[in-house]
Amino acid sequence: MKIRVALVNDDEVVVRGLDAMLRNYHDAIEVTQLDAGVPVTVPVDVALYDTFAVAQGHGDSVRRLIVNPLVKQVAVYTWNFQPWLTRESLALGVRGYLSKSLPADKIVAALREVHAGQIVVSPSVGRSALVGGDWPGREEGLTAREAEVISLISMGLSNQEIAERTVLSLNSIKSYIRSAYRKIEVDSRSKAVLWGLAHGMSVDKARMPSSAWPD
Amino acid sequence: MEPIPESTQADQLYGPFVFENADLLERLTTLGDRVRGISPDCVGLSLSLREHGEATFTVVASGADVALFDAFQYVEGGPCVDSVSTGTVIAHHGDDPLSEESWTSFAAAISAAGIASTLSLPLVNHGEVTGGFNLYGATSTTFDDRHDTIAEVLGAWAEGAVTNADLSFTSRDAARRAPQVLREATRMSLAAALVAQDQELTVAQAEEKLRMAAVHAGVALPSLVDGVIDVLS
Repeated sequence: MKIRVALVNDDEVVVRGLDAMLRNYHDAIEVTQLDAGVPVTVPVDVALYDTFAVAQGHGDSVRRLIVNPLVKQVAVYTWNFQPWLTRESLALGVRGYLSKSLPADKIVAALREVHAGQIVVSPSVGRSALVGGDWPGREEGLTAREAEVISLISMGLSNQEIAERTVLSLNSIKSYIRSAYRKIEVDSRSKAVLWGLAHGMSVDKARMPSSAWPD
Repeated sequence: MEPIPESTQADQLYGPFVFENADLLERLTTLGDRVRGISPDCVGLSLSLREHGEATFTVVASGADVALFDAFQYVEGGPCVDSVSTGTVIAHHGDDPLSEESWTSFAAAISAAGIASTLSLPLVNHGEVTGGFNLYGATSTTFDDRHDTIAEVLGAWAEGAVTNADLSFTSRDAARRAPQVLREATRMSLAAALVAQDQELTVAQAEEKLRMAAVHAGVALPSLVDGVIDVLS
């Protein structure tokens, strides 16, 4: 039986990227709702809540999903594995706390387990592919936000495009870049791109400019 | 001095840039002011760096000068831009009668607009040209007898100085293209890294392979780069 999944994020391009990842598993997963910033309105087995480098808690958004009668289970999809945040999410009733380092087949497996009623938290050892652990670059001292900015640079985006996706000001973006460059010891954007790719910040088409998407 | 709008835009879109362990535009502005302390008639200063895809950044003396320079007609090339592109220190244009004649004609054409002299100074690191400064003077004697002092201030190679070779202020034209140049440089790095991963090459080898492939296929390099990113990402 297919698992009906709603992908939940406030950023449409992120949702589209997740949808693309799961498309090869259409025999197991049915993405019933691409939900960019609007409430889930159809019955689903699992709502997969995608967050990118949320430094603070994401309780309100998760809580709304958990109390939604149309949603059976909620799983969080994140880089952020701060213990308190994981605990808080599980305490709210989240059944899955899944790392963004997981390949698509592992995500599908985890969604199956969550659907079956199990609690699934991506183990630390399972994140060993990531340099640093909880998010790429953490071991080098990058904050989650700095890592997010470097990862978006690694996708070839300009500061303006990064600002639009993160809802940060250009000056804030430049400040994060400046501090990240110091930490990862690069002095140019090209070097930051190479550093990002070498440290697991793989290219995500979903965050490419829309003009780069295939029809 | 102050950055021209395109240099500010380049910094906003793809900055911050580091030059001599400082913010590039802040450093360039400071250097421009210091040069004006030596040569008060200096009205513009450009810096081209290989590190940033040969992007050029320009500061000028005042808003009035910016408007003045906007009226210029631009030509391709220029000694420091050329030397950055080729990675070598080129000979003085004064040694080449044809070039001299060419530059003289440009000088005559634009002298009324305000640039009467230029000084080009390469930046050399371990025998390799890593960039270059172009300075622009409002009088024909702006930089006379000051090459060594200015080169010292800028940390440039005084022996590589070239005079009056960019009277048409081509470096400002290059600076206008900086946002696009920086975008393409970033995308090239991304594409080269993806090709390197895919084909087990070094990034430098992958970049060379992309450049050769574009030539052989007769396609614009940015188009090929975009295609590679789309396929390999």
